[in-house]
Amino acid sequence: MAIKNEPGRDPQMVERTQKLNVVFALTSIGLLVVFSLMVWADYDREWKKYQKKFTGLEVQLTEKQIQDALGKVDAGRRAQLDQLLARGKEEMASRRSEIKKAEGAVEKIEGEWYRVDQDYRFTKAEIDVARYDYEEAARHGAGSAGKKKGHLDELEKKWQDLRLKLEDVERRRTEARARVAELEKTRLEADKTQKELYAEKTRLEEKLKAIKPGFVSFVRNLPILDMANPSLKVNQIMPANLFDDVIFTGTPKVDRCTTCHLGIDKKGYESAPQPYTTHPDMDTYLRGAHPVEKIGCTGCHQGRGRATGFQAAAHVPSTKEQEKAWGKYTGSDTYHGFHFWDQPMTARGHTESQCMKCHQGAVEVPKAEKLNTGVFLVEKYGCYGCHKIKGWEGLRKVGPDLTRIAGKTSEEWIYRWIKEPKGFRPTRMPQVWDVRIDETEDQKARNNVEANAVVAYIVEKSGKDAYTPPPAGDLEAGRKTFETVGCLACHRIGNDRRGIDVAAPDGTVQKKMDAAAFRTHGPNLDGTGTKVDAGWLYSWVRDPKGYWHETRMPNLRLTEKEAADITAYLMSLKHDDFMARPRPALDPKLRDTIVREYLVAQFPTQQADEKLSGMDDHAKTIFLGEKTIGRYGCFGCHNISGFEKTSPIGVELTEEGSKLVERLDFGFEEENIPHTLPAWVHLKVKEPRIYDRGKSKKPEELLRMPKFWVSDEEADSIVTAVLSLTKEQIPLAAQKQLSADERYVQKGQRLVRNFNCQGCHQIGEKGGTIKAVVASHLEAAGVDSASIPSQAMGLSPPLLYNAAAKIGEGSRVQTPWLHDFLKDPSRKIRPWLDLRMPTFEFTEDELNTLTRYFAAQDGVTYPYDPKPALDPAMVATGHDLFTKWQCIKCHVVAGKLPDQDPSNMAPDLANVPIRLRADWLSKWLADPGHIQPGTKMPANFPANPEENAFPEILGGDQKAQIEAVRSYLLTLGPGGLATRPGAPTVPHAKTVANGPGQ
Amino acid sequence: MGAVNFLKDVVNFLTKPELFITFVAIGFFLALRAKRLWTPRVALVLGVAAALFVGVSMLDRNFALIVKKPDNVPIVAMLFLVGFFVWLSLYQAFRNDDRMAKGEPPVEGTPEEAEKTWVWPDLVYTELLAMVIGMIVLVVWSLALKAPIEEPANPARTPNPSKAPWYFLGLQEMLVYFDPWLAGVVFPSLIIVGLMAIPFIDTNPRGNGYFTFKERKVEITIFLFGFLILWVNMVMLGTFLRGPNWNFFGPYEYWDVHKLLALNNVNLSEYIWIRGLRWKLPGNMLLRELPGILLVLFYIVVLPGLLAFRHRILGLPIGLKKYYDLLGPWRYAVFVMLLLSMIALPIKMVLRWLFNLKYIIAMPEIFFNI
Repeated sequence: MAIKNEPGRDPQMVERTQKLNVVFALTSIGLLVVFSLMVWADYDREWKKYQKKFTGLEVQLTEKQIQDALGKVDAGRRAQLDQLLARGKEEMASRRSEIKKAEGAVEKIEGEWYRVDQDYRFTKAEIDVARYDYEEAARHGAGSAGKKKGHLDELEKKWQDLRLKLEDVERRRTEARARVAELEKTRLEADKTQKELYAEKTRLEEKLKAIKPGFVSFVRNLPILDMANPSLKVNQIMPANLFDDVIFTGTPKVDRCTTCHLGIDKKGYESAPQPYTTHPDMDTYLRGAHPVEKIGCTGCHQGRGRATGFQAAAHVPSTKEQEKAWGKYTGSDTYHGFHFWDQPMTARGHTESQCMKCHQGAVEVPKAEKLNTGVFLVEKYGCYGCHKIKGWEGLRKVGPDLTRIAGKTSEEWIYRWIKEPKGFRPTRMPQVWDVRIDETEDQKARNNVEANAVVAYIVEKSGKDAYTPPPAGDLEAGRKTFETVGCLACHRIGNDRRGIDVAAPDGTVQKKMDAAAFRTHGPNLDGTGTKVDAGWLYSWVRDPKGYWHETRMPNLRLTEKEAADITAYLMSLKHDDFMARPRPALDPKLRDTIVREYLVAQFPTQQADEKLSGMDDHAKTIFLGEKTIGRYGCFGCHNISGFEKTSPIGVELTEEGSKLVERLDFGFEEENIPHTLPAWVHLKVKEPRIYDRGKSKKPEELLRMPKFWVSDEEADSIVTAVLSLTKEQIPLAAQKQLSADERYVQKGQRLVRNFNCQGCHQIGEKGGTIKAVVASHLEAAGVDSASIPSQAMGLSPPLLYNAAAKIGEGSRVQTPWLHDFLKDPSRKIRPWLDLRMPTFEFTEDELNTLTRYFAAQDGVTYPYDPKPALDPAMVATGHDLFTKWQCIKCHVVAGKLPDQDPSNMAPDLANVPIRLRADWLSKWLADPGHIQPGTKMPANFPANPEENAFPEILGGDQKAQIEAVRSYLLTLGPGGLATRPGAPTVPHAKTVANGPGQ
Repeated sequence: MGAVNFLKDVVNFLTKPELFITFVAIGFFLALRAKRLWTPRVALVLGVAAALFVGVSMLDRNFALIVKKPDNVPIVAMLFLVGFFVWLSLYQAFRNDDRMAKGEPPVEGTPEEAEKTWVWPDLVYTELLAMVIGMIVLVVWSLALKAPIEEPANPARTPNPSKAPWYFLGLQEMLVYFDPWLAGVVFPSLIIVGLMAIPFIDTNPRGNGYFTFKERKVEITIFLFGFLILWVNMVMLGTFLRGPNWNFFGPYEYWDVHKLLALNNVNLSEYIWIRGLRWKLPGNMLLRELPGILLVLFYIVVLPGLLAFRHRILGLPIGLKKYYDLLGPWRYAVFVMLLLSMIALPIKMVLRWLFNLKYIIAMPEIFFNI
């Protein structure tokens, strides 16, 4: 190419410049390409894909809804509408010229109206100006004031005239319009009908138009242009008062989850694929008590709310398969979690662990079954005995007292029991020895020595009580008493599933965890005859707290005969093959070796050897026993002499749910389980010592947690409970503040749980497991299966709180009576029941808590309830109705049993004035089935006057009749409010069955 | 598979600091003597071999993890650049030496090279192109390697390994061998002071405006030794071969946090008093450290004087009399102090590798340890 050389321009440089021109061109193109790449890289976001896909789903759903709306419109009406529309059209056609003329008239008037209206309004404005001018002039005393006033008056008059004119025009306009409407009547009617008929469809069609992607939305979302008003945008929720913990501060939470999870709060996407699926139980979790605007998403699910990418949000897979499947999100064959966020999302199945952050102190969190079970199991197994957990200190030790064990059982039994507890019967005592997967023979030999030493220590230090043998008892009678007096509400024999497994509506049986059942509150009684001394048992059964002051077993007020019978029965439950297990003798050489190991750790070697040779056989064994108990931490669950003040051996779990994964010791198990906290805890709970596998450790360095032999389901629940122990503090402003009543309910629930009231009574949804036992007895007795449920109900303890009707014991009974009853339940209300409410020996504090609990739960007055004044006339009418209805046919009155099958009998009415609240009586008489579903008490006073059985009494008015009966009942028995005139007196007390043994 | 693993083990073994630094140092000196090899073809072959080595090694997961880390990618690039520019300058220097041996002027002295060029448009155009290309490289780099944002700072959780920025990794490596006072304060200051002092002590007027090696042999050797072996090499070691707990990990080795190496290092005073004379350590600090003090005094007082007045010591041509005569006493003093300080580092390293020597003088009571 011919380039003109500048004067003095070196041709070599010119050539160079031409070469550089080419380079310039290429690099410029390169720069353009790279900049476009940059814009694209910034523009192309993961979440936009998801939003576009969701729009598609939304369009699909809306179209389907339109189809449904159309379908809903009944064909007949559609035909009608079509006819109407057709007629309208015809009409219009036939009157076309008239309509046109009328419309023309309307238009003319419209024009006139516009003019007049404008004049009217302009004149008004002028008036305001004139008024101002006049007032100003008047104020300054100007001479023109008068003229201005005149001008103002003129304008006012003009305005009035215009007003009349306007009104006239408007009237004429209305008329003209009405004429047109009249002409087009049918068509208008048809249009209106159509609009009404298709209202839903029209709304949906408009919605569809708004969301359907088209040219406008395309332009809105173009790069650069999308800074103005894009339809694809990041959505975020910013709950007030919630913060992410970033160590040095808390940043306010910003949850962008709904950028991709677009269907989470919309009905209709329940079966859509993730991330569009509707939230399960949306009304509880996104509205109601946890409105999503207040709580956000990460408050419950954790994770990194500010992220807008899948991995960046710290999603966590819940199974190994899912981990593999999610590899696509990180471009690798398995998914790599997000390492830089300390609170990754709680994996599926453990979301409930986060409930505890706000529901602190709750005994049961509503709807959080897994968490509740987990906490129940932690209480059952007594994890807090070895592991310090803040809020769980000072609780009673979960295992029985061993300070006087020598009188209760034998050394031979103790040895075999502590070697393998579950070999004897289902139990929650864990196994301390021979539980490692890789237990060697050497280790097993050492275990035998240690176990022998422990037995020797315990027996040596135990109190040596001697029990006189019990009187002879009748085994059969004992069995019968045992099974009917109420023991089975807290105890089982063997693998008794009554009251534990639940019958599903479709007839199948749902097996539930026995460890989490009310009937495992007390130990399983299988093999008692092999275990305990008969004299001890006889003494225990009559007075449990005499042996162990902190026992939860209440006093059943057994007579001596009953106690002897039960003792005979329980002593007949043997487990001889357990005692047939071998007990290797203590190997003295190995014992000496182990003792020396302990001594060498404390003293210099030579001194240790001296001490060793200075101890005799017995001293060495006791020494080893003490050290072994100290090593394995038995005192965490049991009171043992010499270990009253020793600190438990376990790791503190107060903030275990927040533990960083890199702080966990996975040992050599890393390839076998996912590298997450829940997986680690799960394996730990199932195989506590497995993280030692493959390591070379000295005996004193080995892991010591015993094995509880929990099922996978139990371990899963326990993991949820452990994960709930976080260090995250939710500000009080974000939590619901419990009212005073709710606090009392919580305190009461804690006592109900501790004393296992629900073993016998149903409170709320759960409990009353003894009813299943009663039902099984009825079945065994050959009762027809259809009537078993209602009969069982009649023979079981009462329902104490109906959750559906929100009415229970609190509204039913008077507080002072409840207090006295709980203190001493021997005064039976239901004398026919074999089941006996035991004496719990509550403290005053506990009595106050319980009575307040029931009252607060129902929201009734505490502790005194209003007592109505009684009208003697009403009392008499009531007595009349009482006789007519023959209440005493079923009801016990002052201890006199009616002539009925026991399952049909009803509570003692002589108690009514001191026991029942008057308010509740009215509600009960009006509708018993609402308060106690399934009760045999008939609804004698129907609301509908036509159905009233005695219309002549008080005019058949249900409310009046109820009040009459109530007034009468409030005069019965001891503590009656007034005497009844002229009625025969009801004999007082002093008859049978206030309860045996009183 | 086994052969590959064997090769990897060999590489892992050879990259241990004691072997790696030694081989690189020896290789450096040999390379400076082998002038024949500094041709473009050899450079190309070596460059391609290095690139292949890195490329093939990327197949190993552990290697890939270190090299792909966004922080380390520029180090890899810089290592190639360092190699290229060292080669380029020495190639030109050797070429000039050959020309000057034949009596020709150096390349920079030829009339063609002495020409001027215009700022506008030539220089400015070149600068524009450089900017455009620079822009392209930066944008592509930022798209490919995102800047890492790691977890919220947690005083209860220190990252392991906790590494300084790359330009301080050489000093962090020195911390292995020296007391923090020396490695962190004294030596860095000496480096800076030394660089500043170069114009003062380097009075060789030759090599101004043209590359030469023969005319500035000692200066170039000393500088390149300090720069390449004691700086760039240490940076590379610190970046790629140091892992959790500042333990050594070969390039193909997995960074196992649990790896343990016993650091049983012994002070000189302990060697002499306890192991040599079988006594206990004297209570008096100065007496205890006397051997070390004498050694160090010899090194900094006697040795410079010895070197100043000898051409040869014990038959080896390491005397510095030539420089004493050339520079005069003051410049010589500065020169020899800086030189001895610089050489002290490899000396100490060798003593550590051979004898597990911890400190020559160990006076923790006054925080003075050499």
